[in-house]
Amino acid sequence: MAEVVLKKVSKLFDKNIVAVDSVNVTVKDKEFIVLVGPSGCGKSTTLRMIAGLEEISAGEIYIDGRLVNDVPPKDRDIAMVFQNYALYPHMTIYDNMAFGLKLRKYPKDKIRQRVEETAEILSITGLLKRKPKVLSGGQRQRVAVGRAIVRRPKVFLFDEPLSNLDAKLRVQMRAEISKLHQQLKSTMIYVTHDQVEAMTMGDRIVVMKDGKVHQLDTPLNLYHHPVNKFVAGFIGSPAMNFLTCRVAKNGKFKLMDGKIEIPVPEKYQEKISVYVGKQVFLGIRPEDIYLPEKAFGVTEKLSLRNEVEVVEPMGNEVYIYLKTGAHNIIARLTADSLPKSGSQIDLIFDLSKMHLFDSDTENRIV
Amino acid sequence: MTKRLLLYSALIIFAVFFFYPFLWMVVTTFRPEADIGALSILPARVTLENYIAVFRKIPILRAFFNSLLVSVSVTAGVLAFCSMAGYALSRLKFRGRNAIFFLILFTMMLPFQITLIPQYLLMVKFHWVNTYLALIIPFTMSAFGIILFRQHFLTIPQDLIDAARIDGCSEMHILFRILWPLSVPTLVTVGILTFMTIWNDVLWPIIVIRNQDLMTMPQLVTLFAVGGRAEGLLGLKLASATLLALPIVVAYSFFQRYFIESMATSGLKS
Ligand SMILES: Nc1ncnc2c1ncn2[C@@H]1O[C@H](COP(=O)(O)OP(=O)(O)OP(=O)(O)O)[C@@H](O)[C@H]1O
Ligand SMILES: [Mg+2]
Repeated sequence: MAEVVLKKVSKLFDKNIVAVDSVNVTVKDKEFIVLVGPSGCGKSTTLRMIAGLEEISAGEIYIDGRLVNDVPPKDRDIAMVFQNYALYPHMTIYDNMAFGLKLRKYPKDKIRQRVEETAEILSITGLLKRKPKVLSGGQRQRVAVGRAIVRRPKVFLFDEPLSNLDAKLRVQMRAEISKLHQQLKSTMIYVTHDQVEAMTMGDRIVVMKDGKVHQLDTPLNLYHHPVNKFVAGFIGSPAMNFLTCRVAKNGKFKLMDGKIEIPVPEKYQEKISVYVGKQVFLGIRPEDIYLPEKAFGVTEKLSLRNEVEVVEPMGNEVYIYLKTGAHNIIARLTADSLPKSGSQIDLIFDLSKMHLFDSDTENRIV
Repeated sequence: MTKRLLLYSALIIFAVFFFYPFLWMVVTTFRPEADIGALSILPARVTLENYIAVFRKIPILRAFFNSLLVSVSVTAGVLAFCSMAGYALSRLKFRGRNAIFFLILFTMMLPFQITLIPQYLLMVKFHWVNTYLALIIPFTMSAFGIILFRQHFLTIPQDLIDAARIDGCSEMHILFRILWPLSVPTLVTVGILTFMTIWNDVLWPIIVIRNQDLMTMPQLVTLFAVGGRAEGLLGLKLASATLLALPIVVAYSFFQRYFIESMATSGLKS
């Protein structure tokens, strides 16, 4: 039950590799926060600094109001679940879970009670006498989670705990961890590179890239109001489409993509005015593209003729890979629309949902 | 079929060549001195007098216990200290770690003869000459052991160590409760090689031990057989040599599998 505060936390490896760059994050008490970002962006390093496994090069970390920069991991009142589970191979499951309590000199009967209780919650009671190597991936994962919660720490840290599981199990464990969070009511910090996991599990999400925090917000705010092109492209699946356009004025402000003229909605006119003659990125999500007969209620629309390259039916929906002028675009259509690949189709782009980004800074314009 | 036959005959001939002298030695120790010239394996007359004489002339039992004490202590020391050093060199971050590692590697290239005299002088300065300390302490660290442990520990996932650290392990706990149980083959290899090297060593004991009661078995037997106290009696010499070989043969028959594995995995024969 604790708040975790990172103040200007940085990590340098070998004096010149900046893995984490002045990160400011406040994880509220009982919050489930997800660190997400592409490989190598410094998520694990950040988590390991919170755990105390990695020294902090600069900045301060507070757990429950206490400065922990120089506190060893075992005294930080945290528990961590690792990607490859990191169960002790030579110990039984019971001993794996009891190990931390034993080292903390809990009385024997108390340990037994705690371990059995925890095993009950995770339905691994039947496995307690076995060794990790005879367990399946999913079972090991449960044990790893069990080993973390048996100590009732203030803060749980997860480093890509589900990435070694198959897709179905991953969805199941995702829900279980969320449920566990509600039961335990403790602070959880969860690292993943999978934005679906981030969106479904996080109360708030920290989007990182190159060691920097790009945005910290609720899942829906990230989705609807990404602060820059990177966040916009990272959150959402399939990813947002980007078109490079030039801003022109002829009466109203417009975007020019080669010969295609894209009107800018009234509400964005003022913001775009300073960009006349410059390049901007237009972002449009695959779900904001419609077949003409399905585009009810779309007011600010642009109709474009596209060549269908690939059709991916998903059952409940269809992803269509299109070629539009010089651009490759993905549209996400309803399941009943199955155009032939190679054919030409007209599609309606909902411009009221457009995102615009500065081409130099990549920051959001509107 | 003939190929196989040839192979087996060749192997048998070699085996006989290797084994015959040893067998002859053992058999001969049970012959009276007068019969020793015979090359046959079956003795005409059997006697225990050679052994009785050996036990009477030299404290060979005492020497056996000395050897055991020294070898076991050194082995225990090597396992403890080399694994600690190997752990530090593989998993702890500190300034100069690589420099230290290369220094240790470098010491492996120095022949023993170079350090022999300085080491002896050190023993004199410490007043350790003619004590067990001289036989034990200088050998409780070995570059070879450190390197073997370091290489093995590098193969253990860092996450396991991190998990233990979060669970509340101190560095010693991590080493002895997490890494040791996962390093049994390395422990056995280093243990056996160390034990055999120390058990068989003659040179160093001869340099630092003069008190007969502190002598190790190979030292005592060598001095006895070569040093004239056997009075030129071949039977006595052979009996003492047989007694010297006995513990190794017994140990080998028990730990044969580990012996072979450790020779193979370490990639060298000592
Ligand atoms: N021990 C180390 N020594 C040097 N550089 C390191 C070390 N650990 C990590 N790095 C570097 O720091 C950066 C961040 O690594 P980190 O493991 O935190 O990334 P990540 O976001 O967890 O990526 P992934 O999704 O692949 O796990 C990377 O560029 C990595 O190469
Ligand atoms: Mg990582």
